[in-house]
Amino acid sequence: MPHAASHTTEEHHEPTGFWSRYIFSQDHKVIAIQYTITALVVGFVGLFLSWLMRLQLGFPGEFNFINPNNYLQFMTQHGMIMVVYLLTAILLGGFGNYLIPLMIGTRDMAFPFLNMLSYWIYLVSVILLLAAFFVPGGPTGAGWTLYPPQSVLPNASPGADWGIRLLILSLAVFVASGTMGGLNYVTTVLQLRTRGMTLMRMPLSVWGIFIASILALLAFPALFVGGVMLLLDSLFGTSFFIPVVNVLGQQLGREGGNPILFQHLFWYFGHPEVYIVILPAMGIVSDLLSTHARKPIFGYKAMVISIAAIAAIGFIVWAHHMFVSGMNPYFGFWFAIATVIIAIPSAVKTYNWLLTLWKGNLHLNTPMLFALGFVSTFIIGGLTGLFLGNVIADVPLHDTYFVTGHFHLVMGVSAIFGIFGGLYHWFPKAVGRMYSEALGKLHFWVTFVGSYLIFFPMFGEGFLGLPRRYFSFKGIESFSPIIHDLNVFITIVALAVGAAQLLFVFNLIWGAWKGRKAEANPWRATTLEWQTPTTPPPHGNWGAQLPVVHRWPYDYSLPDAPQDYIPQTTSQRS
Amino acid sequence: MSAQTFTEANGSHPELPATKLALWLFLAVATMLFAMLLSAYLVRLGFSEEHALPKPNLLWFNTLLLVFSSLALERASRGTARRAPALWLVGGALAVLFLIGQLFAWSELAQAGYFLATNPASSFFYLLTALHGMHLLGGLVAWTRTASCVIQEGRGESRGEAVRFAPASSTRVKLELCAFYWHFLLAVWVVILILVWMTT
Repeated sequence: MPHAASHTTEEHHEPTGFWSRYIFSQDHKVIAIQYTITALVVGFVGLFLSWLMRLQLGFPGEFNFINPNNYLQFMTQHGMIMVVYLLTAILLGGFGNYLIPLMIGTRDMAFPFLNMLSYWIYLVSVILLLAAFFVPGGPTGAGWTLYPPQSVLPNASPGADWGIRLLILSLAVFVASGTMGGLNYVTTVLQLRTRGMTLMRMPLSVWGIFIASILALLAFPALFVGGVMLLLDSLFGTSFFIPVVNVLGQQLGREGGNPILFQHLFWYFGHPEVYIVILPAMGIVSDLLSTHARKPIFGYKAMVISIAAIAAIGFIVWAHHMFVSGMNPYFGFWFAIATVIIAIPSAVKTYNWLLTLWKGNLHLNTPMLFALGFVSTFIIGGLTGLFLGNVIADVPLHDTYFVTGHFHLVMGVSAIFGIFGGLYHWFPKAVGRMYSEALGKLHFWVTFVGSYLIFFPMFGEGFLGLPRRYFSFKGIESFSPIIHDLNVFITIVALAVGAAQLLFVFNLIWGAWKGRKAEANPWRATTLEWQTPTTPPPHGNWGAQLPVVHRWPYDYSLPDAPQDYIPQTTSQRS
Repeated sequence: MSAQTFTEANGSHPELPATKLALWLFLAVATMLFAMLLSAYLVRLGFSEEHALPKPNLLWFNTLLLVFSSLALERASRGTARRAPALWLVGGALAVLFLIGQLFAWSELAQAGYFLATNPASSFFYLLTALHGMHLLGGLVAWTRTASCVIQEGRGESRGEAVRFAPASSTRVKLELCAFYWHFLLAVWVVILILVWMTT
């Protein structure tokens, strides 16, 4: 019954040189690790920028090198780095590359060369992004949404000349890289599944990454188009988005451009982007919960349908980011309704996670803790999203810290918990050694409790009306004095949580170097990647024969089974 | 190790080559891109009084070039291996001529005083034609790589080895995909042309 196809010598054409093996490798696992490390490094830059912002907010006036201009630059770059260059890249490029071929039982991506190219082009986009810190004027400080006119008019925002141009260039390159990756992931899932791996037997991680890749393919063009038009407005004086503007009594030679048009293009990308990030994390968390609770996932079919529904509805809710933009109020009505509707599949997923845990045999190891943390922050972040989805509540809250708390919990912290959980979970497979469980748990508790201490008070600050994006609240005496104390508190916690991430780095490096040798299947999991003949899997993954799939990926704790899990490769009889 | 070995080993969906699926996906991406741009165009025109744009007659001629280019590639992908190389080269040459013609159309507009930043219609016209031209340039890269396969197989034919490309042969697939991409770009160009004509 194993796969009949015989493999000849071609299969062992594994490249032997250092460069072709570790640097310009076409092996999906090596590319996945390259993506992961690059994204984490750039993520630490983003983390450092958030420290600088918090220092200013907690101790205004104490740090002289932070001024209103570079505060805005830190904020803009922090947002862009975290959403695009960390979360998107690590979830699609990192987890997508590592998991898709292993979980569906193939030897590599459909187009290995394109896959390699995708990584190197991503690296170019990262270099362009970071180069902006070294050009005259520095990186753009127009906010991660890059709204015109202030993003491109001279002196309207920091970095309005070279900074914004480099960032747009970097984004365009990122879109090219993401498109190459996305074509690969979708084609691979549709074409290269091993025998027996039907679509409805795919692990939810693959489902999440697969649907998110489709979203990325369809949403990134909007960012690309908006970016190119913005670039032309910046470089060549066109008026795509720039209306008639008077600067110091002088009229610029622009006419008729519409800034709201840019907002539509941006959020037509920007909202699906939220799901590009959260759907893979949801998939990973589903697999982690099921494995470490030793229970079948509850409502597998409903989970798949919800992923697809969230993706589809995700394309028609974008303008809920624009309730205060001055667009036609009737739009707001429609987008508010669509936004509330999208809460339904999200709630289905949440209930299914809780029901998967119900009476499960919970193994509270590090990956499981992070998965549970994801469910928690996703619920709190999601519920506060319902406030903001309604126009009446959004209008007073929109430009306050309420929104900062909301999106950090629902897509920032949640997504990164999914990533941490996934990294710990698959670490033994990827490097063949174990990390330190004690350090991992410490990392979790500091990060989990710390995240709540940072972001939960922001809801309160938002209700008190504290505006986001502000450099300083000096001179605004009407705010309750508690705001200042809260800001000091948040800053201290943020510094501690940021520093705690070094535990994670140390744990992984130490684990890869000195950790205990990992068994092939330390979590006693059912999915294909744990059934590889060797750990870590070699180039080509499966040795002589491809695995054959006989069952869905969630056969845990079946009543009459000899073990509490049955791998997907085990046939029906046994 | 090549992707082909993997694919054959899995044997999951031989009837639909992975490259064909990938091309369809890419066309979906390109469709989104042009759809976004054209809707932005229509919205943006509503905000300006001034959207005059001279329409060089050259554009009709260019359109014809692209139509014939598309036809030639289609014939090459359906025809015999002996005739394919000539048709393939003609199709590609016509596409290059189309691009040169577009550059001449640009210079006509510039001579009439219509530059990138003159008014929204001219801004979008330059942007749309540039992006369309860049997609065609990308297509020409694929065209060049396919050309060598076509010419080699054409030589084989002259020695009497094969009358037609086998339906699922890799060369046949490459020809079909390239031709299909050309039809797509022709359709995009026609849509751009119609919209520009109707709105300026």
